[in-house]
Amino acid sequence: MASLHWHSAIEALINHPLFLIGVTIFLYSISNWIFEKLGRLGLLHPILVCIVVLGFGLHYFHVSYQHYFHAVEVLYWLLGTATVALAVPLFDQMSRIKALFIPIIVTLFVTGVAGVFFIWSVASLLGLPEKIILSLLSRSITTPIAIGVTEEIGGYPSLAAVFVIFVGLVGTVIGLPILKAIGVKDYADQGLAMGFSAHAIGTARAFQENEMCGAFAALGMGIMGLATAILLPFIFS
Amino acid sequence: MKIIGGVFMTGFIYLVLFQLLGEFIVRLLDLHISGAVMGMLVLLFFYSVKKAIFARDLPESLRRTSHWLIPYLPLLLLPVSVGVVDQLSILKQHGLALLFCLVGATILSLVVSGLTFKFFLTRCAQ
Repeated sequence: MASLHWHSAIEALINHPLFLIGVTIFLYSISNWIFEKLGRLGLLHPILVCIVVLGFGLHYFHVSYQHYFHAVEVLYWLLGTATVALAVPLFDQMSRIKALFIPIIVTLFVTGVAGVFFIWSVASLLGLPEKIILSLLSRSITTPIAIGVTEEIGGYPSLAAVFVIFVGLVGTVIGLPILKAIGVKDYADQGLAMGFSAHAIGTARAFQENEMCGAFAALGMGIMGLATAILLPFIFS
Repeated sequence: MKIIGGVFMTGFIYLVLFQLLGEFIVRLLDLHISGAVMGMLVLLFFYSVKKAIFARDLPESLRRTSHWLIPYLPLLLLPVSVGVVDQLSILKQHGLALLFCLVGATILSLVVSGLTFKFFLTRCAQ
């Protein structure tokens, strides 16, 4: 079979504009399948598995992150569209959200204040520089908001983005097990805690649990983002 | 198949329009919020008002497209998330302190919000 053009065929494949999107979707599908088959073990969450595999893959094949991001940018645009779509489950849970409006707002403020207080005191105690502490404060809100807020209060935006993703992953892995362990069984309660603590990544995990859990996580993510964006610059600048 | 495709695209167009509207509002008012989150809030507000006045439900197309799209959230978060790998060296210097702060704050946030809300839920139920 000397007439087959293996080299140029493979070359054409890996240089195709859709190649990295294809790899990402394929990898995600497989890891999601494994995640579901093995009973949703936190450490096997598809986001975590895909980050590790893609991270090593990019490093091994000498592909820069900038190149990768540019190649899969379409998925990033769709993230915005999917965020807007979260309004639909919220709409369906509106009667329960309205009935629980005051508890939701009180929980929002208690959680937000506890988080800022914890980070500020513990990080100062551990001797972290002030600019890093300021970058830690927006850890529990979704990346685009966190970057804007961190710029505003004088931290490092790129570092804040890393913290946000890391917290999202931690929340996704340990969130539901911790909540169940402390006796938080109501799906709305679990969802709200996931949205408050682990933003969009936690919300994605909550939707794998069920619709109500996801809707409350989306709500939590949205209002925690709003409140942080408005209040942090007010307190820290 | 053609009809399903049409409904799907209509829903998609609604979502993109609200996404763009959110982006526009955020820039207009110079808010430091993501345009998509604003789009979500505007869509929610718009259809809640419409429901209150005309007693009308969400368009079926919007519902279908959203239910199709939302399960793919983890996939759509990958482009941003993979960037963590690029920044690992920055984290090495203060690694342990940062790890403690971030994991601690996440556990605290989960426990505080979970229990605070549970307190209200059990009180409401009584």
